Amino acid sequence: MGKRKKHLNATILTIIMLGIGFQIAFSRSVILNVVVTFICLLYLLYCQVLLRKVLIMLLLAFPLAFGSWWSFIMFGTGDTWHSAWIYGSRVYAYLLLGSMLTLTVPVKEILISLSIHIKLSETFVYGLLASFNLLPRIRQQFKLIQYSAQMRGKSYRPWQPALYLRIIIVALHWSEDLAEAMSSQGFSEGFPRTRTFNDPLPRWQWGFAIIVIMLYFSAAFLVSPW
Amino acid sequence: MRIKKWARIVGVVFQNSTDQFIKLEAQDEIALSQQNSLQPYYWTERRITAAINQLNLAEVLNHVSYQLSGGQQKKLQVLSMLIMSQPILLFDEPLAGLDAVSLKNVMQLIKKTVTDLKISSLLISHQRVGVTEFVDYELKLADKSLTIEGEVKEHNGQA
Repeated sequence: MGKRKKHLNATILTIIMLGIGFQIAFSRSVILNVVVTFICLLYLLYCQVLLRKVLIMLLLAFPLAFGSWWSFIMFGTGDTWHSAWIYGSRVYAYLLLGSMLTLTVPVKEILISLSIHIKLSETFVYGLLASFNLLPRIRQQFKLIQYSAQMRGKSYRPWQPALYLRIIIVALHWSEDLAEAMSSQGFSEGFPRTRTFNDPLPRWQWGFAIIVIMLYFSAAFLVSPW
Repeated sequence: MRIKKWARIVGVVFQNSTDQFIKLEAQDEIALSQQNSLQPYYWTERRITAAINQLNLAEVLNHVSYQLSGGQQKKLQVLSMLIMSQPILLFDEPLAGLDAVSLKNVMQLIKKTVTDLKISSLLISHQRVGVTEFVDYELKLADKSLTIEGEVKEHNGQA
């Protein structure tokens, strides 16, 4: 727990991600994209995210970045080289910005943090938590559906609507189960809830988020480097 | 071995009936099993009709499988897998939600089919009453240990 105090709070990371991510869409600076990518990468290393995981992520994104870069070189107009590097580096800037949140904080903590600090609807939080918690069960169910079909001499292919019909039917059953489970645990929509989850958010982190977003704004739109 | 090959050797009657159904209507469900049965010469039209009548499913054949009652779903599920007739059949709680008469009919059908077709079958059930007389061996899972209760026919004197 002591180690975690050094990390940025999930809410702050989300605000930084949205605040800078939105500006990146309008910024036309390769240097800033590289700076954002580099700083996020440093943060990931500081948080001791597995290097192998980061490398795989970077490699997987390479075709996307290269595709953007190549399409501007081939079909762009005006300063094609500049545009190509902007859009190529932008892929990595977005990727690393997002991974700064998703690779360092578990989904549960992100959602609960957002519900505590920026009043994200608790129904929404519970719904999303349920979906994430159901992922292993969904995988298991998918295998079960495939096996049940193969036992009857049929095979489902990903493009067959029958497969999705069965998944929808299962999901409908689960949604009933989920609603029952939530109400049996005392969940009532819109009612105040007691909390057992402690998510400290020091004030300096709010200030840090504002400064970082303002700094990016000044650099991107006032200084506007190459 | 690939899962597809396993599926032709080991048939499973799932605990949750809706996991089993492929088609929407009960009659299509049975037709699919008939079409792909591994014992087509045994499962003639006449035998299937007799099984449907024995399980009292005739009146619900044109109903949507997912809308049948729990007991009807179980019976449809068991019949579909019996028609498929894999060499090994596993039944996971096939008697849940069945009344005494239906239970007897289902067990009779299972017993006759697995005996006629020499199918190896394993049935898991919380219920023993009305079941043990149809099985050859009984294993009991209690206190984290599985014990062989022995040949059931020795206990109740039935073949």
